[in-house]
Amino acid sequence: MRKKRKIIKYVLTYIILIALALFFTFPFLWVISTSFKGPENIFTWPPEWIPKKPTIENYIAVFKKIPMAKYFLNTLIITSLGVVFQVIFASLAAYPLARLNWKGKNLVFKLILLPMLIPMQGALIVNFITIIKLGLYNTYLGVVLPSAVTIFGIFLMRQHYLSIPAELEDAARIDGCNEFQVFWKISFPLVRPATSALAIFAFTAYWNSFLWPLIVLNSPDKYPVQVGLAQLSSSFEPNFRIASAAIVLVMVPILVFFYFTQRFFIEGYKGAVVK
Amino acid sequence: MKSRKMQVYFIVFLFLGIPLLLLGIFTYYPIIRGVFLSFTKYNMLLGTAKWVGFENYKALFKDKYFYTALQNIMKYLIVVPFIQFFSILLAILVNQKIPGIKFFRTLFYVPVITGSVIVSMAWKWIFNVDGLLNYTLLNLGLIKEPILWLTDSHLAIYSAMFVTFWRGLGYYMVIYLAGLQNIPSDVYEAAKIDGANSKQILFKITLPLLRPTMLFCFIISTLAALKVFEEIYLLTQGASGTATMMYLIYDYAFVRYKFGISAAASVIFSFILLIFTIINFKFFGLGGEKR
Repeated sequence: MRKKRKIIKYVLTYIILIALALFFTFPFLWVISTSFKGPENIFTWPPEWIPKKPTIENYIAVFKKIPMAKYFLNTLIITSLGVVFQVIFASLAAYPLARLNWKGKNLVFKLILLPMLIPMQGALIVNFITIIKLGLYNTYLGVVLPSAVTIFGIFLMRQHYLSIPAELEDAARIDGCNEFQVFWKISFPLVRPATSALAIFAFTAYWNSFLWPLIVLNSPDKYPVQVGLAQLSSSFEPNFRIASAAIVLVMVPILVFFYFTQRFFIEGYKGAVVK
Repeated sequence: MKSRKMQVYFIVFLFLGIPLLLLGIFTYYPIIRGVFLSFTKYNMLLGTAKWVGFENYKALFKDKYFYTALQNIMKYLIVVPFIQFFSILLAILVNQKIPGIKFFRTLFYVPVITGSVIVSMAWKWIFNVDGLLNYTLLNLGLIKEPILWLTDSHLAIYSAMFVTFWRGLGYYMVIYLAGLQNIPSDVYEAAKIDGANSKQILFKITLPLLRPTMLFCFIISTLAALKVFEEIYLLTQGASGTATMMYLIYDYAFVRYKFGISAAASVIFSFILLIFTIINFKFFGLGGEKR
């Protein structure tokens, strides 16, 4: 009786899981299916999820018309630049705030946290003007710089520095390490796992960023994938099939990348949310 | 000893210098400058600002889209409790140790990792007049005429909300999953020894211990709902009564080049965000985020 109940529970769980999996993937499956369809008609009844006469002509059209590789390269540059900046600046800035004693420390920390409580939206326009005045309009640096230092990042790293036992650093000082060596040899290696959490947050943010690059970049050969695709969606409006092929070409590398790094995503949030 | 103190101050300046400079330029300065801009007429070509008093605010209050945008972001808040409720359920579901669970977690996360642009484009072709949804409903005989999911001004905003909901579930699921896995297993074991059933464990242990995660998620999800932009931009271009505050701010500044009015909208919007952040903190208690 008990065993039977357990089996039913098992089967039920998997049915729910499969239904949910379909719920989360069917728009993409539809896109994939459409991308292989010929010009006849996309719709037949019942809908053809696996095209009877698959064709790759849409993909050929995409490569002829859209600089896909260029978009990817742009995203790669913007994302890696952004992640490196965020991780380095947050790791550095958080250290003196967490582990060193100096005058004005609390004041500076409170000042840093202040904008987190006041979510100010004026930044969009003002930063646009600033970027133009700095001569960074239509540059990768212009896309990355305004979010190179995040309060969230500093806060996250500070929490992790705080969890280091002071004895470790003191022991290093007694052993003759100077303050730089204490940071570089003791403290920083101990918070290194947290930097991967921060890197993941930063990666997701830059990868998904849309509005800011849309505003700051004006030449299409600098567009990251998200902006490039969005521009296409309007120009290819009547032609689902070609746009679908473009979407598939963008999705595949992301999914492959995610498949190999997903462990870090879930572990990363563990390190970030509550400690 | 003196040299050690010097070293400390040297590190303070070295490590904090550039980050504080960048924060100053791109985070603090815009707060002050943004308020100032909202009282001026800004000339993009010359880079000059002329003081116009409350003109921008007056223009904004006369714009009916401003009220539409305010209404829409309030409507959008409905997404928050739904997204949180279902993502907690999802997290509990995928926190089981059964074969293949990692594969399912990955699938549920696919909408997050593909990004808002791809998601919005895919859903646009489902919601379109001649899209998959209407086509299916028509052929099943459930409707007689196609439903204007994206162009009917009563419906369009809800279609966009659904896409936001669908896209956000996986994101919060992973954060809650991390929160669940951070709960030490001996807490559960102790409860089981004391004879607690699974319902009691859920309501007396799991959910209370998840509170700090919930605060975090409610805050970011509330702000994200109020700030929604991508779905609107890509699904409807702000038409059919779907403009949100972020869309309005974008539209004024970068389509119509009225920076002053856009800045005024930003100032008002910032106050709205501030109010909701305070409400969230009050509701979940400030104690929740102290560790």
